Amino acid sequence: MADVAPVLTIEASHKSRGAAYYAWHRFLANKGAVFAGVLLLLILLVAVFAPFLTGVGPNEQKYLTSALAFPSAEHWFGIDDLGRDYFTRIIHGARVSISIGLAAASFSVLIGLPLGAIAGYFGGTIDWFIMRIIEIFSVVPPLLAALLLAALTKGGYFNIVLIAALFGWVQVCLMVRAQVMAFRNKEFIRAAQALGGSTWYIILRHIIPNSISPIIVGFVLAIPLAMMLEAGLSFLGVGIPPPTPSWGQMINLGINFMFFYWHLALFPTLALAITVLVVTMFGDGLRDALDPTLKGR
Amino acid sequence: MNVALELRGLSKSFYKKQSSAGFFRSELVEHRAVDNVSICVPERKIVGLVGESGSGKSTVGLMAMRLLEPTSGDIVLNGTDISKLSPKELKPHRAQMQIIFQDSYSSLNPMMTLWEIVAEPFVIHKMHDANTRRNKAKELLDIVGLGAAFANRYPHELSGGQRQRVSIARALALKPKVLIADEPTSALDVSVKAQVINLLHDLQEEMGLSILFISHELSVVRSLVDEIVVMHRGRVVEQAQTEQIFQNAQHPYTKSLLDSIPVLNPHNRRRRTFVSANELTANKPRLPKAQFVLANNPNLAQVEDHHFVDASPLEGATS
Amino acid sequence: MIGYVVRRLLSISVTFIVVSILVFIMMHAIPGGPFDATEMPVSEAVRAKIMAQYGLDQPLYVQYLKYMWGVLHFDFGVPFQSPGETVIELLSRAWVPSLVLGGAGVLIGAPLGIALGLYAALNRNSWIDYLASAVATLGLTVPVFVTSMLLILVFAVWLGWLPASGWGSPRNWILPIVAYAAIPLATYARYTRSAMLDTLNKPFVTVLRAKGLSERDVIFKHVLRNSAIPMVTVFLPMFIGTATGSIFVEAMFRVPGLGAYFVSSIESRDYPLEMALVFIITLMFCIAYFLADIAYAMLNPRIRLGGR
Repeated sequence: MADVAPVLTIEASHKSRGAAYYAWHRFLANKGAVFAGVLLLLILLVAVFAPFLTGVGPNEQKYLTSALAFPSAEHWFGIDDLGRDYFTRIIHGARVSISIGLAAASFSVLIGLPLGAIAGYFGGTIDWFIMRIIEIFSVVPPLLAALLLAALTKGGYFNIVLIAALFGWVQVCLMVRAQVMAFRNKEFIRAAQALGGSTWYIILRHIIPNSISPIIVGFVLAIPLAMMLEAGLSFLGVGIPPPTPSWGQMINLGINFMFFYWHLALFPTLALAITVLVVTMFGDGLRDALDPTLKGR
Repeated sequence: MNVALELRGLSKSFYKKQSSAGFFRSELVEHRAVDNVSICVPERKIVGLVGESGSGKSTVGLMAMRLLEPTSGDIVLNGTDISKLSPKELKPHRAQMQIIFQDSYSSLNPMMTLWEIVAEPFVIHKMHDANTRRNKAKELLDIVGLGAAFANRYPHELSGGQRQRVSIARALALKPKVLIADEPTSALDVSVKAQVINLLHDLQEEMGLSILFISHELSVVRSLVDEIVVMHRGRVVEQAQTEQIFQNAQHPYTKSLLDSIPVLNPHNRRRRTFVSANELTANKPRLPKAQFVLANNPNLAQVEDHHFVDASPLEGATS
Repeated sequence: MIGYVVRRLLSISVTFIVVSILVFIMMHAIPGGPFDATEMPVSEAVRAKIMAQYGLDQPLYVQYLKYMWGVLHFDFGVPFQSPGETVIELLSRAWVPSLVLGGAGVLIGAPLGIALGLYAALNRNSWIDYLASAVATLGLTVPVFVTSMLLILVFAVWLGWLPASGWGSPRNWILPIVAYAAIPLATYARYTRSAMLDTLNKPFVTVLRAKGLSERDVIFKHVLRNSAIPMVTVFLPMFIGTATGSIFVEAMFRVPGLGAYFVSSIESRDYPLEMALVFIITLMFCIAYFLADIAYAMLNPRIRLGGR
């Protein structure tokens, strides 16, 4: 082997860095996303520990005598019309909103991932069929259809989750499909085929690991969509039925009182706006960090 | 002389929809990407498959690997016809023949470390335990000139030449008899190109490989291969031993390929000629009927020993 | 090109019919009709009579075909909630506020958004750029009813400048129009900016500058035209956003428009009105989808040959 170039060496100090390392650093460089992430963490903590943060339950009408009281040192967000501590209801609303977002996003991935992977990998008739289904979903405005479905099923927690997933999977599916299509003809897939790897082996070992970024991004971006859907439906009275606290429902209630008791309208509005904004900004930052080529999609 | 890989009359047609007949009626138009190509790779020899891009040479390589199903024709690997085997039956034969691709970057899964990539053949063929796989992968990396320090790197940390070495290591992991090299050097810098060529040459001698080397550069092929097959528009237009092609090319297309090789001495610079399709047909050699001796490709006439060219028969004449 | 148009038209018609069948089945298959025992406690005989009167006792496909036959004659039936008029009469009243407010919102928001996006792309990292990004993010993430609520709180409740609800005078229109305008404004600001930046980074722009073309010509003759494609693509989501937003804007500002009737028809299980509204909205979306496709094909010569 005289002619072969000398064995190539690499400095020992050079640390090997995987894709996750670079993604993490790209994320840290995005100040807005980091800020959103910190705020999101705070909101999550508040939601998780809501039962321990205030002394009362969200539905306890403990302060009936001072119903509709304005915010004070004792009741940060005031008291609602039925004598319940509004701050307690807002932070319990976060539990409802975020848990629906997470559950719906999980279902969206559960539906969108296999369909997207199948459509992207096999192409042809299967792809055509799945794309026609998606076309149907794209000419039906999701909120209107969701409204219809929610009204027909009379709302409720699990129906809302399922409805949100029904309209959330399309985006996940399209993202996974695009990624799989981009990778399907890569030569390392061909090399694995040349080695005799089965279709399942290739999908599990090569396609899915390389689709992790769009899956995570699709998951995170599906969360605010589901949260907005829930809030919208609850606002219109077909979502989460009272007395379970939901921000959309509370905003609707707030309209009736806004001229005199503005706090009933303001706090749920701000809570919803901030949470949705923070989740979206975090998701966008994550997308840009995980896969710069997905930017703006 | 034993034959390692024989391609017999391989053809591949692609069909394209063309809606010339109206809005809704469309007809399928056949495009023959590869037309009746027969190539024989003898044991321990390197055969070069040369042609411009779009000539169908890479399609031949993919079909030989059964990565693309031929429309017709047979693939005989070490005496077994593998062209009709099911994926399951084919799997053991896969170990006998491997391929390396042009694009070294997309040849390697970006999510896997180098040793995982090189150990993948063992995983697919369920050979060895985890530890042995790792050690064998490191040995292979060593053989292709990448030290053990590379084992835990990711593909994006390497240069093009280094990545191509990893591809070679992976292809050789199962100790195949036949290697198909699909333009492995076209994307590399000139100096790196020479290194990879030398590596392939050494490995071929050491492991007793037979190689089908696909390339569009005759100059790269000259130092490496024993025999050259020239393809143009999906057909073999000339095939001969390497020096026969360089000394005594018969077909106008081969001549124009030779003409495109840059010369070293600026005094010898000349204007290159590029033949059009019409000129090619018009200038096709016309040879006596008796010289058309191949049963599998009656378009090829024999000009000298081992040297065949695509020609039209000259009626009535004998030689 | 004509072949392409015809193919798209056929494909979108099939989609429309599939959607209408799905909606029809969905609305009838789920238990709990408008004349259920829980909703309307009357005797069996009376209920049967009412069901027969509205044709609800026939098999589903007969109901569907009858319905479609009526639709072809612009007959959407009589709304349950106001039996004194036909659905068409009711809708011909209701679309006016929606169109006035939504139309004004788009006409103000879209050009403003495009201008903002253009300016932001040409002056990267200026304060306008940051403003554009902020407006785009806010407008695209925060639901319309939240924006509306904040507008009402600030301008009606606290400042008292404008009325919070109603439809009577143009003064009532201002807040809803602003709420509407937020959607096209945000959509166009974001996509115009990113489309422009994409194009500005293409090598052909460098070539144009290198050959000495004035910056004005580069932008107006070449970059804008090449950025138009993503801007057309975004038309559909913008349209969907605005149309969907009308439900919330009208509920929020108590405007008697299509969105408001949609909500009330759902609340009262008013099949004829509900079906008609879904029908009209889906039809609008199909037309928008189709127009966006055609515009896309006209702007992008590459797609014409391929077809879909």
